[in-house]
Amino acid sequence: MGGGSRFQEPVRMSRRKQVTKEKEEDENFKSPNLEAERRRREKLHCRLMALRSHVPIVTNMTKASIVEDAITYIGELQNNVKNLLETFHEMEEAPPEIDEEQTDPMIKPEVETSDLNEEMKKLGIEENVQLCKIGERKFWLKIITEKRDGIFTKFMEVMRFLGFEIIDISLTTSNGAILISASVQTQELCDVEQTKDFLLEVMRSNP
Amino acid sequence: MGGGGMFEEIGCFDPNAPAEMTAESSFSPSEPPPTITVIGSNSNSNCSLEDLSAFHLSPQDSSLPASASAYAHQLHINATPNCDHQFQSSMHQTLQDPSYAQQSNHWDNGYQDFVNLGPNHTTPDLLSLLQLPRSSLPPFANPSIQDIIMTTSSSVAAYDPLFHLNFPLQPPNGSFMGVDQDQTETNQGVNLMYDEENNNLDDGLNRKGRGSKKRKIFPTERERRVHFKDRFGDLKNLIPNPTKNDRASIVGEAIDYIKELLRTIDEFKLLVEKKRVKQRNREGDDVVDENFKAQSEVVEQCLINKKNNALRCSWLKRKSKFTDVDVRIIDDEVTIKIVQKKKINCLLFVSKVVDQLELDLHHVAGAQIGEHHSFLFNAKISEGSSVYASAIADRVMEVLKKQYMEALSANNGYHCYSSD
Repeated sequence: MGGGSRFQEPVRMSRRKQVTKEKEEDENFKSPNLEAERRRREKLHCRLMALRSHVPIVTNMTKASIVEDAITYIGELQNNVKNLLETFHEMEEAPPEIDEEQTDPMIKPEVETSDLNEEMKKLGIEENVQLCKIGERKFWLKIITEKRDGIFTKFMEVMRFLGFEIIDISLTTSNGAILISASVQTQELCDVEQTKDFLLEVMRSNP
Repeated sequence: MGGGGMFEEIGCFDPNAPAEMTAESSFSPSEPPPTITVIGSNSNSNCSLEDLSAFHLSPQDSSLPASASAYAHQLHINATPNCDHQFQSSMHQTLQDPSYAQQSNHWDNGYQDFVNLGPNHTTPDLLSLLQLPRSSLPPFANPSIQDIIMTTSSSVAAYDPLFHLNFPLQPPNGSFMGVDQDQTETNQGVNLMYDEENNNLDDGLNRKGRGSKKRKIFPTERERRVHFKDRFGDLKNLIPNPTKNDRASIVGEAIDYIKELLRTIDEFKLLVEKKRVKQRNREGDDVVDENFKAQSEVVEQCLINKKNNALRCSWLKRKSKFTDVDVRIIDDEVTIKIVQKKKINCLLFVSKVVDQLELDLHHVAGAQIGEHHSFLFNAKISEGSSVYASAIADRVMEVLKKQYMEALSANNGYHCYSSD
């Protein structure tokens, strides 16, 4: 009996030790990317749940079906946009609308221009150009002119022609007049007076 | 001669056989020692009879010598192998059966056997004989009964009638011994069957589980992953300007795009409704005379205001590698915000786009901030134009991308930077 117990006990003890050793090894060799991987999976899971909440089509709750339903729903929305856009264009392309639109623009610009000119005259605003030197190659620019279509684009083209690099700019419209205030920088030296006269002449000229 | 005297005395009592039986039965329990001595004196005859029985039962043993001392030695040898056999069987059971209680019981039995054998030197044969029938097969039970009968009988002639007289005593002893052995055997059989069933069930479950897992999941798992990846690819293709390739970003941008599409649909519905209202009003104008144009215009404005309580409102964003465009529309006012990495001044091109879209420019502000250009445009939509947020954003983004690429190609020095 004693001998039998001696033979049996060591086997069990060795088994227990093996189990404990395995547990210790697992704890010691934990993966360094474990936390990062968990965060990545958690992020994807949250996004998928949010996507599921936005898509009314529900085929199944698996990840693949969530993505499939989203693809289907986006397709349907895009079709809706196309249909509405076609309807919108069809309404615009109607013949009577075209006739009316042709007449309207002819009347409006005249009225607007006359009103704007009158307003400027009443307030005593005059076209003006100021150019001051801030640094060796930096200038401060101020232009007051009448409001017209494409005036800002024209201004930008002049800046490009003169080689001025805009550092900051501000444009304001009020009572038919436009105020442009800008800080510019040049790569080449230029004459202040000549530039000022050139700007004034260009801004006054009608397109 | 002493022995001869013993035989003669027994022969004298032959005619009184039943009386002797009763006397012995009453005599034996009262005085144990005399019975022991009697058994010892009869050991020789018992040995000879056992030799005969052994010859009949196991012919293989006949090769061994038939002397009393040799037989006694044989008995000892037989006993020890039995113990070894028990030990081996117990070892096998320990290997097969994990239960500890059975093992402890077997070891305890063995220990008791050894203890019983040790002190009783005077009667080893009798004890061994008693044990053999218990541990061995049922047929051995009969020899023990025969031995008991021999102790009572003396001559060969008297043997047969005594045997016939003692016949009814055999069944209860035999049945008792048989029952015990049968129970033990049936128990062992049940245990073995249970073990076998357990093993079979375990093997079956393991095999079925493994087979089912391999067959069901292995090919399906790979197909499932490929399918999942393709779905993300399709989703990415639907998004207008994807920035990153990881799945979380794709899903996030899909959510934003769905929201944008819903807002765009609402915007278009509102525009279409306004167009219909205008059409109805214009049809009404045709009927009215020129004199009442002013009044009709006022009426139209009132109707429009009443019917269209909700203001038009939409917004969206566009992002690319170098440029961010943010467009917001409230009623007829448009706000465009542009942020671009510092390469070229985008103001000229944006102003051209604004003119093309027939937007009335009201306010512009912007500057160079660090490595970026940042500009804010405020404009008004002219009446009758078909401008919507996505159109503005798409157009601006397209122009800026084009100009940016031209600038990169023009500046050879920055080629390395663009490659990074």
